[in-house]
Amino acid sequence: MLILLASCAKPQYVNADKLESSIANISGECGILFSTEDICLRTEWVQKPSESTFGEMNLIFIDPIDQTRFLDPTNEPFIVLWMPSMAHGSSPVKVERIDVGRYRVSEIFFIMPGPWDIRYQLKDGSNVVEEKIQKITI
Amino acid sequence: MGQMLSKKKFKKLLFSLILFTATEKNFAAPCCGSGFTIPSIITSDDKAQVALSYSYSQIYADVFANGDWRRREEKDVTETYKIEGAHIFKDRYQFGISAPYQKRTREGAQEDRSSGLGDVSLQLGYEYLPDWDYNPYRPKGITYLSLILPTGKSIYESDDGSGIDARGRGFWGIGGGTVLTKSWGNWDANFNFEAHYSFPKKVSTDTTQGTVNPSYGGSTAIGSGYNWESIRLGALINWFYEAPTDVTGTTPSEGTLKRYATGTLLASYLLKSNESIVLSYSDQTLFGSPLNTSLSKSITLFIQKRWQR
Repeated sequence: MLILLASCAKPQYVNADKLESSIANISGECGILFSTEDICLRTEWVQKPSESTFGEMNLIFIDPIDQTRFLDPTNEPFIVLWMPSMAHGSSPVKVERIDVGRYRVSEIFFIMPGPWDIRYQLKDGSNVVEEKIQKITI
Repeated sequence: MGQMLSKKKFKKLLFSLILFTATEKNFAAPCCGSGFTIPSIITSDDKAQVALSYSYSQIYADVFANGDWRRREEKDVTETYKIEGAHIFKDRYQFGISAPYQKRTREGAQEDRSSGLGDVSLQLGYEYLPDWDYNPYRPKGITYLSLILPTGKSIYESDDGSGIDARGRGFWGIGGGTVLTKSWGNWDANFNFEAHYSFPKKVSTDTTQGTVNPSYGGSTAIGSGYNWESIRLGALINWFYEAPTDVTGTTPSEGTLKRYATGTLLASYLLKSNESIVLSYSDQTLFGSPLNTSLSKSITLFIQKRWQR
């Protein structure tokens, strides 16, 4: 009985508001710098994802010197949603090129709540040339 | 004397039933199918047993790696139909098999359902501590080895990556443990300890190519019950631990340990001398200090038939 009492769980519930605020863009002066191509990525949420809704995001690639100049990366932009603590991913997202340097990522969905990585990748076929990671909590 | 033995045997039958049911537990990670399963073990004097069970389990909360809890907003239900059997050979050895069939239903943005075979497990047991003389202090002890077959589709083979069709962990696994049982009058107690190892797996999906490296895990359970006539009421608590799972390849990452505890209340009824029915309620939100897991509440209905030696 003592063992049972001593082992009672002590839940610390967090609410959605706290979680929502933890989603933020990781932008420096020019955004996320991919040094292999010397190109910057800026991200902006069109629709933030939640436990029950899909998200959408714009990827904008720019010249790090002339930040008004849009550029297409040489390698293919790709996004992986990854839950490192549990070592698995989520359903694949859809990446579409809209214009020069502009891409729309849709079908962003996290299959369970918790801490996730958004892995921005530049890929040459199946080879990941460079990757930057944004951490979020859903 | 015959009447005394008969009474003892009756209690042992009940006891074996309770132990069987109480430890028959799927450690489910809802994203990823079932985890390691404690095997079905004959702890009575019977030569064989077969059991059918139905379990309804719903995720209640998720616990993050930092210990924060979050209530699950969308309904995520797993129904499990399971057949299990065990048979004695060479007097003190036994083998067993457990095969679950799972139906998963998820609501929300990715509303979907899926069903199919989960991970099958095989067991080999040996009664190293017999209780032929009904010693008042010495427990009965059985040790066992388990082999987990990755027959259930894992999240790494999920058709759309959503994991709704993940009914297994995806890894070959081996394990070993021991069960101790004892009864005093109308009371009984049981203890189980097991440790297991899951082997690495190469994966190739739309989003990742590489190797998933699970590691060691284990669980410890203690339970007790009170018997009168054909009824037994019991309780059990089971602590579970799984070492971090790391990934190498296109999505390298270091995992986080997983742990939780399951509390179970159960009521058993002896239909005939060789048939039993059990209703149990399990709750993973009550005990322990869970980390990096989803917590479920579940109800299980269990029917068992035994054959005496």
